[in-house]
Amino acid sequence: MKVTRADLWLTATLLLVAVLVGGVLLTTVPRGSVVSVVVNDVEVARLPLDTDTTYSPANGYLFVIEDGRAYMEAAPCPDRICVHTGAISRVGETIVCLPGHVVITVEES
Amino acid sequence: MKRSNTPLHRLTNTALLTAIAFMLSYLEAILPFHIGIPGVKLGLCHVVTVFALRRLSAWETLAITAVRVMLSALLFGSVASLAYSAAGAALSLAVMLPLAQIKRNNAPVFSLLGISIAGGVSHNLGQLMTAAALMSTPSLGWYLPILLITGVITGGVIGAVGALAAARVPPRR
Repeated sequence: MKVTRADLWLTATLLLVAVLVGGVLLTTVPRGSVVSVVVNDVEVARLPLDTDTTYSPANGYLFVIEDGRAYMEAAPCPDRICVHTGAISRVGETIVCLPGHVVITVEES
Repeated sequence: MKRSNTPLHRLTNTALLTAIAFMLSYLEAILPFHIGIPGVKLGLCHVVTVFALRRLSAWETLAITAVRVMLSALLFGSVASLAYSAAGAALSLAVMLPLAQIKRNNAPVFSLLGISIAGGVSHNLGQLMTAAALMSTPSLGWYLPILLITGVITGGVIGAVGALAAARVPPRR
């Protein structure tokens, strides 16, 4: 199977778009001020990012705010994707746990 | 001389490939593969799609994908997983099938690898759009660069495997 020039252009364009979008997001989106915690489509907490806290949105979950960044420290779900997501701090960033119906979003205020 | 291109032969081959696609989909479901970013998947079943793009007609490719999506969702999925799976498959086929037809001087412009890369990216995009619609969280822009890149990588790998299979599996006699 020959790799054609069209393939290379396509791949390069896709990667370029990815890098551009990522770059634009990183440079223009500001850090948020508050974090919204939604469990089962109901907002259960709004926590300010500038205050170090720990919070448990549901049984077995441990959510931590530290140094202006927020992350899920522990979770009872099988894949722990929400934990692996790492820390969020910019407006629009999210930590999601689908099995637990937990959605945490960084908002402006 | 026996003809092996009868409708029955085609039906059986298509059914066989559907079964393989379904098994690959199940295999992927039970193998843990998390990179910490929701939605990043291998897309193993798309090896069959790539194979079918080269070796079968467009209708057969469509049928295999449709049946595989429904079977997977019925047997080990949920309504939500059906939505994601269907959206991803629909968008990726909508991109791949036309791309496979683009020709210049009677030769295809995109190789299976490029088509699979485009398919992988559009599959991820379809799932991202479904997530945005279902979760009423429109702030999913952060996933876009990641899914574009992983779409290229998984599309490339799956495309390479599928192209190899399409070249090596002996044609019907």
